Amino acid sequence: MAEGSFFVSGKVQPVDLDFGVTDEIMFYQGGMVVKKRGLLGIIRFLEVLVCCAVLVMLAVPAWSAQPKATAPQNKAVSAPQPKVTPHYGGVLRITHALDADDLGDPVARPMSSTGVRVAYTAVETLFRYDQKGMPVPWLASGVKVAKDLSSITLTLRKGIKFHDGTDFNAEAVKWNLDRYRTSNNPELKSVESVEVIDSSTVKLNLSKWTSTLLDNFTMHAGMMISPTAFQKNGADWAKTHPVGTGPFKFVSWQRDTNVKFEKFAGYWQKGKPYLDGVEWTFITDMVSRTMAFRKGEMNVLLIVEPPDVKDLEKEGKYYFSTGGLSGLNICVAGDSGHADSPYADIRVRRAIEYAIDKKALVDSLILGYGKVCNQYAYPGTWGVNPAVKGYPYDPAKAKKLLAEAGYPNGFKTTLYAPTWGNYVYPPPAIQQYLAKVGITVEIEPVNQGRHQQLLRGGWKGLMIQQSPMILPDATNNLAVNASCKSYLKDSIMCADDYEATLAKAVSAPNFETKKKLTWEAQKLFIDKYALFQFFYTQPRMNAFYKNVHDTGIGITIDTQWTPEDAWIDK
Amino acid sequence: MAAFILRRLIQTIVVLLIVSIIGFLIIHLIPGDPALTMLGENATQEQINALRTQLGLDQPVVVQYLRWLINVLHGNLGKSLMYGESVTSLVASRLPVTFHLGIIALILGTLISVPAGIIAAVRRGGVLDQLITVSANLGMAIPLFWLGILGIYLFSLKLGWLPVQGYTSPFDNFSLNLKQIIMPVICLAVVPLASLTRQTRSSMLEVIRQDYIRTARSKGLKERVIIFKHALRNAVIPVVTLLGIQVRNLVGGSVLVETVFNISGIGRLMVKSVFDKDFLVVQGCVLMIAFVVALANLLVDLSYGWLDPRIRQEE
Repeated sequence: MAEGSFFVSGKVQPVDLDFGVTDEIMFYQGGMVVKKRGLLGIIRFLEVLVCCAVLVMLAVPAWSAQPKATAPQNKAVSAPQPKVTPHYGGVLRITHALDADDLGDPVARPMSSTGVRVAYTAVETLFRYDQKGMPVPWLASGVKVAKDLSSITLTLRKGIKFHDGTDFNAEAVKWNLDRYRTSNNPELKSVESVEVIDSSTVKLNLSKWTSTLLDNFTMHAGMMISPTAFQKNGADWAKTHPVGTGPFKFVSWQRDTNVKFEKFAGYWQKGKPYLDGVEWTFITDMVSRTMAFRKGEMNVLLIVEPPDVKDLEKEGKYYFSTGGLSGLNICVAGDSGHADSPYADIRVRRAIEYAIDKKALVDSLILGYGKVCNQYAYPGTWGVNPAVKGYPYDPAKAKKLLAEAGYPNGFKTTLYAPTWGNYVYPPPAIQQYLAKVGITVEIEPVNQGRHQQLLRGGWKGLMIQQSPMILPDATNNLAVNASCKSYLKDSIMCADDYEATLAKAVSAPNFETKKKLTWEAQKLFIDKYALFQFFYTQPRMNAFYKNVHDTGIGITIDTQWTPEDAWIDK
Repeated sequence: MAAFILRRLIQTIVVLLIVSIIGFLIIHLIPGDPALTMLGENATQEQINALRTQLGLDQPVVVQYLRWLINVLHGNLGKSLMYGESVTSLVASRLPVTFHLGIIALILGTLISVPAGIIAAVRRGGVLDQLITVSANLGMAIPLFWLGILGIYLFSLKLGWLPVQGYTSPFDNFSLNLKQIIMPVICLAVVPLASLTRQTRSSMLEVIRQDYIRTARSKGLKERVIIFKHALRNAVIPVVTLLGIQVRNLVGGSVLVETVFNISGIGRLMVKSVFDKDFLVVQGCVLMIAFVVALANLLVDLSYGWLDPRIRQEE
């Protein structure tokens, strides 16, 4: 640094030599001593400013914490039944944790359940579930099954147009179904060919009858998109641009942020929809998502955790739906298929059931928002067999069974515990209950990828099963997620009578037979073999502002709702 | 100077190469199969195998890496497994959002921290110094996500001043953008602000004790001139070094802040891609972030020469 820069011109009054502070610097100006506020004056001013800011910051929370008028308590967890005429207008804002992976092409996997639910705003299905969990025609108007079960004839609603102005007719249905059945997706593998009978009738020729076929038309396989839009723009475009017959047209999709839809003026139900638009917003963080809802930025909050439901109930501004016919089934399965595993012994599997107080799990882990379950069917659906006895909490009996099985002092086992969603809560509780009967559980956390690998490649020990019951079709749920012929083949033992009964249920000629056989399979699966140990079902809870009506969310299955009927009170 | 820049650029390329290798290995060590994630649990083994072959996942990791590297050298970062878009376009769409927040946070942090550090040093031991020091320590210790949630609760939910979440481009709606970014920017700025304040205070204390400052005072220089012209310039070099490091920390902070405030930036993209094992996106993000950090450090190094002529002469 240049030496000269230490000097300034003119007379200078020395300041104190110690390092420190001087409040004012004195200058000689024209022979007079002038006190001038300099740097340190500014500092003092800043001191005052900062102190004020701190005081304000301290005061604000205290102020905001002042008691406010108490809102009426709303303990009811049900949708209000409006008696008034629906209002037109408004945009329904729905928030969900996850973004869709695909919106416009049901054939291109993955299309997650979120993708289906969001796409449902614009894309309709051939069938929908009613409130009893039975598939009923939607874009189809009727269904006729051949007596020899060799074909299904679908009649279609007339006068329906896709958002691009093209007709929804038999040709469009054939194009959609042909694409699906010839893809890698398994649902329509039994459909050998699709024939156009006339403009509003198609015939599906079957290689093999399956009782779960019509259920599949409520999901991916039944989603109808415009063939013209697809062929004109290509498969990649179609994935992100749903062009269906639904009440709302696709506007935009900002990945990981939101999807916007606007009213489709040409919707086939005259006078509907009531809303001007629907906007889905994806907020990953649960706390932020709930706060966005509470602030009123969102009208509907999907999948609310039990503690949040408790908090929201206190505010009295919302109502809740409990997931209808879909929910989560919390259960574990030991590697019964391995001869050297303790779980190969039915007595050990039963001991696990007896050792755990399921009611206590429901009360403590999900605050009572759920039900103890003893089988693979969601409460309220036809698949629940009341004759299944299950295994009530009886630790003494569990110990006795373990002793009989050759484990009087218990044994050590690994419990593979998923690290996401609601699966994270049960493992520590299971560990404690099993410790009481002598089983030492080592919890091994697994991420989604590892969980999938273990499910498919086999595991040693106990595994929390990933068992969301999206469809109320117990036959399908058992066949896909609880069979030694499914992806669990390397871990679960094959119980011949159970598998045979289940196979018969899958090919049952009518619903009554299907139900009877499925009930038999449930009883074998639990009471005879205890292949899975069921604990409780957790509903998918959703919260709504009280001015939101008729969305149909959480009434039937998880992915299905009624955007055409939804409306918002002014 | 040109030789210096060239040398640093070559070093940067080596760093990027090492980072890409480490990133590639780490993402492949995470358990899980992207093909399985893409196809879902009901996919058949044949479908999974077919997709693995199609994506080249059946090849050894070294082969996969070399293929990726060759593509990168041709300007192709690959295609996202989950989004189905090119990684370049994904990164290009998310990076400006993170930059927008990060740059404002850095500017804000610097503008507040340097004067605060100076004040604390000049008023050493006083109430203001104590206040600034305690605040800076608090800023260093406070978890970002907690601060974000607290901010949302106070300013959005209770006071209703700011939106809870979202990001709108300032070109689309400037005032909404301003409201949306206030809290994320403050959260992002807290750590740089705190650490730069501490660094400025400490550097200034060191400098203003030196003889030449004492001499300056004895010669009657204005305190403003002493502090800003003579002391600060010498004290600022460690602060600038720390500023370069803060660019890296901002990227880390953006992961949390973007998640809490629901902003689609590069941090959130990277986290989601790690969970999905969308390794090409992870690689693209890592490479881009490493490049930005390396560039920031290069600029910091260049600024030394401008700040201190002695360094320039050595170069």
